[in-house]
Amino acid sequence: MECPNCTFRSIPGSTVCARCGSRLDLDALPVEPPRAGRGVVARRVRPSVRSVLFRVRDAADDLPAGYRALFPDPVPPGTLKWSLVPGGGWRHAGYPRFAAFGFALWAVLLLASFLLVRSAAGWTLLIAAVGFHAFLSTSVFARVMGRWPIHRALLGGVGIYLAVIFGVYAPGAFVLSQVALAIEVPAVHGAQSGIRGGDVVLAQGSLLRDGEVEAGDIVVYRLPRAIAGGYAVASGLAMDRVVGLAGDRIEVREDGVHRNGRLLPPDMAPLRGTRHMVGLSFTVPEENVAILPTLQMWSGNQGVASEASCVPRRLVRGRVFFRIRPFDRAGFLPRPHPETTRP
Amino acid sequence: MTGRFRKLEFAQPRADLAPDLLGATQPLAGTPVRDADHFERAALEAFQAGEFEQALRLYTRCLREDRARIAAWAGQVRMLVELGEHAEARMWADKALETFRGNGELLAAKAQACLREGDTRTAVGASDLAIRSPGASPWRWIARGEVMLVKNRALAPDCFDRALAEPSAGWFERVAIARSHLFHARAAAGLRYLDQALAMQPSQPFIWLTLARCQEALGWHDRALESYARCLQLAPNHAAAKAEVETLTRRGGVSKLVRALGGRFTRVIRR
Repeated sequence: MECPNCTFRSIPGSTVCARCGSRLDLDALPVEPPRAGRGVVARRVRPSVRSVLFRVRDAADDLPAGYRALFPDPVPPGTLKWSLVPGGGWRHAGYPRFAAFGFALWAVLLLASFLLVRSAAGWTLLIAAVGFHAFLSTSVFARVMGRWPIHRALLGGVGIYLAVIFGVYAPGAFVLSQVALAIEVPAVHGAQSGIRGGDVVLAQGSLLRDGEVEAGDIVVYRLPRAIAGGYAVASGLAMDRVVGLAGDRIEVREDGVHRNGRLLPPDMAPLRGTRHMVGLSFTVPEENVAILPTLQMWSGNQGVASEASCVPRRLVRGRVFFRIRPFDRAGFLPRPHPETTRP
Repeated sequence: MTGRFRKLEFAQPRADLAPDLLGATQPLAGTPVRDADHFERAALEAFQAGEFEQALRLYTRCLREDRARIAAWAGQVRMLVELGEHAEARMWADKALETFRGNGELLAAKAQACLREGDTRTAVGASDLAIRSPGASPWRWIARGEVMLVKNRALAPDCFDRALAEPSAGWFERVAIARSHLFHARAAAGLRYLDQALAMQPSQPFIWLTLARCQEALGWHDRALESYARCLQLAPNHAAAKAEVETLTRRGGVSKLVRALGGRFTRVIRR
């Protein structure tokens, strides 16, 4: 059994060369080489992407040794788990100051994104915060992954990024939506107890609800997908004021909205105008609240309008309780006075 | 077979004769023996003619005959590199190196594949191992020189000279060096090796084809057309040369200028 690689004569029957370790049983070896596909992706795109990745890695290798020494090598067990906390991986690897700095910067980004919520800058800051968290998590493994094959390192980085997004931010966003919901106030008609169009406010989620809604509360509610009578309404969240509770008689006249025969004061009126609903009159059924529809399409169809005005309580998500923006008027919103809400 | 043919005196296997003397196992006189050597020679001829796809098929055929032929494994990897399938070449080199551990030829081919794929770090490692491994061949130094073209240009000519100092180095190794220069956008430096190759074998169409490509890369379109014409004179059915001539003559002045500038831009980027 002569080795084709080093010409060493091994014992007959050997499957591996005793000197160089080459295989000696070659009969089952496939000899057809792999071929690249004929498409543009296989011939052009994939090689270009791989080439760029290799160049990036080589550029990182050419960094002075001092920079490379910034990254831990090896990382202690459990670093990956700790990396789900921003800077936690670095702290676990023995870099508490850098971890604290990273966590502080992440917290600043997240707070700024909260303050600018519902704006392009807010989204940008949120993405920056998520990206920075992912960077903190992957950079702990920079030197470890530098020794891996490029595809494995790439997959590892993407895996950590996805773990951060789906392990931290997706559940976090769900929980936060159950606590409070940020919403931008639509255009408001007339003088409305401090609320203006364009304000960004917080509405209670199911975890933050403090009792039932009262007449005069501004609430966020889910629009039903469709209303009887052939009129379809866009589904989604809407915001407006509750003008009546179960059993109340609601009438819309020229001078405003009347609840059980009494005219509601301007700071208790619906957020938007009711001129197109003059003549509307209905009694709020059980387990419902009255929120006058603000869609112009209801004009002239009283039956559908009164049906749409009665919103089941289960569709009311919560009361608007806090204003975030503008910053000079930020704070908790006052609830209507009990005397005005109970005629 | 019917009964009356059973008594005809065909060459019957006889126990008293050695197997190699039996007529049934012997090829007819004048028929070329289609063994691994034959296919390896044919593959090398195809390689030297610039027909890489055909050479790859012949190397595969050679390996079907004899899987222990390391030159054919290395040849397959080189053909994949020449065909631009660098990732596949690298994968195949790794596969072959699993079988023939530390083989210098395979390591050199792998270094070339990695380098052309852009993975300079692995290419340097493979090339180091190729030089250190027992044995010698021009291909190891050509791969080393190509690595040096990217890593440390000043050392590249020394490596190529070392490759050409090997006893088995001939015109084709010079063409291979020129092709390495051409791939790394240093066509001007490759012309020197092509001149040497032409001095050795002026009747090889592949040298003229490579020369024409270098000239085209440098923006010398008239000279390139002349070289393509020379290639077609020597090999009238050379498909690649025909296609290049057609493209070059159809291309307008602006396109030629853009292509020439593109070549220089690529060179600046790769620096």
